[in-house]
Amino acid sequence: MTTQPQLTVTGLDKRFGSEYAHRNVDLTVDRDEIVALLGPSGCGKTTLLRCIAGVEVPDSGEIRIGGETVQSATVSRPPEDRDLGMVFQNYAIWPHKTVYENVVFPLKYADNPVPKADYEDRVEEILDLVQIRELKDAPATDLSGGQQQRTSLARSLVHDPDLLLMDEPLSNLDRELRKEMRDELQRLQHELGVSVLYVTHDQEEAFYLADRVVLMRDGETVERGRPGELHRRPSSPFTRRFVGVHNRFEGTVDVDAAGDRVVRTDLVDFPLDNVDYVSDGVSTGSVACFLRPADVEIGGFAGRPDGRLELTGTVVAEGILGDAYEMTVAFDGAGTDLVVHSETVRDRARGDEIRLHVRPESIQVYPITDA
Amino acid sequence: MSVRTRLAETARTARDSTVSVVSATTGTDGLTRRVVLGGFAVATVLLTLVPLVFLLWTSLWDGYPGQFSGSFTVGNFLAVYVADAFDVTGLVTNSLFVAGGTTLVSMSVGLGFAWLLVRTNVPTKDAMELVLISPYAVPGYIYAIMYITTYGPDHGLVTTTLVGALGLDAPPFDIFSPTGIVVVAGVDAVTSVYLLTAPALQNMDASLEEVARIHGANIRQTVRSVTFPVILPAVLTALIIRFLLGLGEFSVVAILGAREQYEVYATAIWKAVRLRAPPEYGQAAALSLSLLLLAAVLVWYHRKVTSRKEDYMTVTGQGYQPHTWDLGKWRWPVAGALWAFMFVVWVLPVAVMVLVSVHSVWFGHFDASSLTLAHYAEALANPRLRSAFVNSVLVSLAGATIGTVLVVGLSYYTERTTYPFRGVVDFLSLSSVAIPGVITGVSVLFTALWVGKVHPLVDLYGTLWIVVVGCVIAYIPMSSRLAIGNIVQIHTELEESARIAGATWVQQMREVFLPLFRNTSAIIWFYLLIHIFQLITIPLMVYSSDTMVIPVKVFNVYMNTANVELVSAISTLFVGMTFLVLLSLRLFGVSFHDMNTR
Repeated sequence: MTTQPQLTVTGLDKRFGSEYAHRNVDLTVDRDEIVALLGPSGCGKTTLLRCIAGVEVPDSGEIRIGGETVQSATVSRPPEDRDLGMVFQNYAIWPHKTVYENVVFPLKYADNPVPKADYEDRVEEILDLVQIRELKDAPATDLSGGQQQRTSLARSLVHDPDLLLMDEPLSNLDRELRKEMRDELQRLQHELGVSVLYVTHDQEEAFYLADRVVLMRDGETVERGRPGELHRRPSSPFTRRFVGVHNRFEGTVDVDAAGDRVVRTDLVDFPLDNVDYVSDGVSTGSVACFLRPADVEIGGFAGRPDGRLELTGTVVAEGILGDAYEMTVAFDGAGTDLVVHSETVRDRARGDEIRLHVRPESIQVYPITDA
Repeated sequence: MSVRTRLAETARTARDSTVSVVSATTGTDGLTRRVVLGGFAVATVLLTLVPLVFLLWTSLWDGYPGQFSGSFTVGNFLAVYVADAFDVTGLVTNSLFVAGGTTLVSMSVGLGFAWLLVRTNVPTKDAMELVLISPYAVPGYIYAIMYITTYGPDHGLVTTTLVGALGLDAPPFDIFSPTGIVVVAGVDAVTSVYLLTAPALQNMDASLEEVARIHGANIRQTVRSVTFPVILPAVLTALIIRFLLGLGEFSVVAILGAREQYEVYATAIWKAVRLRAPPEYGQAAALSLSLLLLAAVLVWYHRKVTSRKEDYMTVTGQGYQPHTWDLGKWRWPVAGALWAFMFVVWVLPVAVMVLVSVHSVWFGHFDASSLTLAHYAEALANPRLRSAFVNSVLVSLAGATIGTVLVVGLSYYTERTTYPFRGVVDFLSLSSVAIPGVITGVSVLFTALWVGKVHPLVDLYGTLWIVVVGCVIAYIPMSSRLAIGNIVQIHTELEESARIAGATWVQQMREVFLPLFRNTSAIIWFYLLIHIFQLITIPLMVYSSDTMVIPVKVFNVYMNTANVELVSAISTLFVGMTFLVLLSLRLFGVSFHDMNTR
């Protein structure tokens, strides 16, 4: 129809007293798109969601949903006039109603084309979709966590809202159920083609589900992008630290006697030219280096085959972790330990001396700009 | 006291998390919400403040309330405090004595029962609890009359029996003395202390005590060093409430103190307003203000020493069976002692009241030749008495309904909105706990007299409405605490999700909040019903011949004719009615503990 986004947030500010919860936040969600709002707890992502839902009022900024302004300097629509669906972290299933009564609620009150006679059919259809048709007449108090989740999802979708807001919807489920519901959400979103703004602190969830990920920190958006590129090569050290599992160590960029730029860290020194240097031009000063545990090879022979860096340290902790074998290696005179994952080696003991090899290009180096 | 601070902290975060709620409102719905809730806030402020304004005005006025031709004066204050129209020093001393004495009696007995019944394995505790909380159905003025027929010096059953059996010249005790007053009023208050403190003991984490035992403390040391400090906030709250109620104690003093002219503030104010001709309205108002000041200082001090949030800390944990101490070989002796005590202070007086009611004349002992049901016939046939029964029922039904709607609305305003003056509304709704019933009564009376002169349409004096309004005001503090304590337990997300799903605020209230709050509302309603039904201080100040209610009738019949037989018959019927309500509540699954406020 149009290329207009389903949700546009422009310049949103929200203060609690003198504290800023948000500063100048911009955000869009396009049609049929899942956008994940990712950030550590307390970064303001839930408050942002509540501002969009209209249960919290921002201090300034504009919010447009489905092409209509619902929040601006002159407009502040109540939540019921925003045509939304929302899944709360605790599901907010009304305990005094049955599953059917919970799900039919938006049909009764929200703007929708379903005539009253078809309510039951519509509810059954949506219950089918979330696979709890048989619970239609069950009282809400009888539901398990996963069933409440599905009820909540059905309720938020039944009136075909312009935008679906989800606040940490999977965080209260156990591990198995979380994976199941994650896949289910993906399927539903593809089948229904609904626009979703998804708040989570779990990076796995965000990168698995989202078409785009927006990273938040202290009430500001730090970075945004497609999951793949954001995961591979984010543009800020904050994102790098938050996304994926990495060793982080600090160093400084220096110019050596030959005039080449080198990174000096307490682990090892290496030339800046060979590493993955994520920068827009800052050439000297402090840097943060990131290295994936799986990119560290456990070396047999001494020497520097094909330009790899070599480190020698001592194993201080080791054990099976998931599918991998993990070791923590400490180095003489260095404050930083390295975590190393290996698919093949699994038989080291604490106190063992170990030699490690690292390809310089697998180290991502970010200049540390903020004080 | 780290446990207390931690609990207070929990309570605080629980409260704070509910503060930010739907506030995005500009459309017509926003207006509805603002008008409806604003109405409740305004009503609360008016009901709690306006009577005090008129009390102050009356105290500073040289005419009658409503006599606009008068002028301001300090004459009333000079008369009361300088010219000794009242023995103010004596009133302060006596009121403090009654307050302190009843608090001491009720707290020690109530706490003792609470601990023994909740935390030990004393046998027959279920039956004991039933006997312990049944006096909920017996108001203070009936207590006093029951005790006169049982332990009174002239025709008390026990007194005459003892004097006869032991050949004494004089009764061995005197319930018309200050000590007698304190004991009777104190026993009357035991049930409420028990209901205020038992839940705290019930919900206490047993492992706190177990760990003290494991680390070497015996029962007594554990109770002193762990149990008591943990329940201290609940105990302090019960203490201050009891003391405030004791300061305003009216009916027991009026009935038992009459013979020796023992006066407290409440009785002096009552006499100045209702017994003097012409009534000394101005002086009564001036006198009231010093009692009000005393109570306000007390409440202020209590708030200073215990954080406010702590008082209303609700420890939840339904169906939780706390660890109980083994009394060992003392189990049955303790149970026997408790039953003997309960027999003496509750069972016997009630039995005697029923016995007296079926004697044509009571001489302090059973008399088969004097048995009759004539007093019941009179209680039921006398048109004035019948209309008093009808009025009592009407007033309590109307008061319970209006009061419930009001406190649900005002607590929604303070807990669920970000509107201005929430603190003021909360403060006013709570602070009137410091105002003794008699003073609320005279304040409402003065308000009716003043406002009634403005226009006949608002002249409520002499109608049942003024009784209803006064009763509602008297119970705003207690009932609003019940409402607020329960509102915070309903997650705000339940309401928000209804709004997001398209419901307006009114639709949301109808579909989600009110259905979820139905049980609490029912409990508040019954709480108000039972208490207003028994309340005497407010009606006694504002009644007229057409608006007589049973509590006033019982009081007047006893005070004017000393017809204990008829009074006993009316009282038996009255207590029976209350007891039936309580019993049916229990059948509906509402426990007495639910009607307990903190």
